[in-house]
Amino acid sequence: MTFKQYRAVKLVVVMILAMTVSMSVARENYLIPVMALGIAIAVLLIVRRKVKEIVADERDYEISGKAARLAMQIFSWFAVVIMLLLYAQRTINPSFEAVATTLAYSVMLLMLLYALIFYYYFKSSFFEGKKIYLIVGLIIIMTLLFFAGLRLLSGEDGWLCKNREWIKHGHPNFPAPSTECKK
Amino acid sequence: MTQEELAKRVGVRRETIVFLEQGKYNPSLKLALGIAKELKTSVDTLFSL
Repeated sequence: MTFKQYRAVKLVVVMILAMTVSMSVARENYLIPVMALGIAIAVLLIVRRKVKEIVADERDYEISGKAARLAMQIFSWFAVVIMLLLYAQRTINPSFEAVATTLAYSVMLLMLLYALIFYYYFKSSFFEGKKIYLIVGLIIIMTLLFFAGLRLLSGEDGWLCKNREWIKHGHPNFPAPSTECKK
Repeated sequence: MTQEELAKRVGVRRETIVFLEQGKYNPSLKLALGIAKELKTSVDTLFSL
């Protein structure tokens, strides 16, 4: 398979994936997108192995490094500004505070990951051994810990869906969800 | 030798060779040595150092 064919297949797979995810989320089915993502990754990995040409070289890696750094900086600045604005306006709508906190945690996690990965590459060679799996494992563990922490720190105050009605649980400081309660 | 052949021999994409020729990309030492070896010349001659 040529590189051009691989790119065409990649484009088609991404388009199908995007359609599947958007249609599934619209129908409130969250299992199909996860499965579709897994299948898409597997298909792309298999197809990539069939490419005889060089898919990426040192120039691509250099460009992707620069692009990743720039994307990270833009996202961080954007998220911080939006976070401050939302936090300042939290009296208007209490849900602004939750969004601001989520943005703050996202930027913090991104910075932490960047620092850890930078430290790792600074200390060792990129292609040395198979330590890359350690990093991927560490990232997964950290992400899980992050969400577990959010769940533990968020407390028990919230809204419960019962008999097609949103019922207060504890003392939530945000309004009831705007989505329909179906249970 | 074509750009495509040279690219294949040194393990990069043809676009990288094009950018190198145009002076728009600084190769790694490994790539510079690889190209010099394939073209049977030295790095300083190849890059006019």
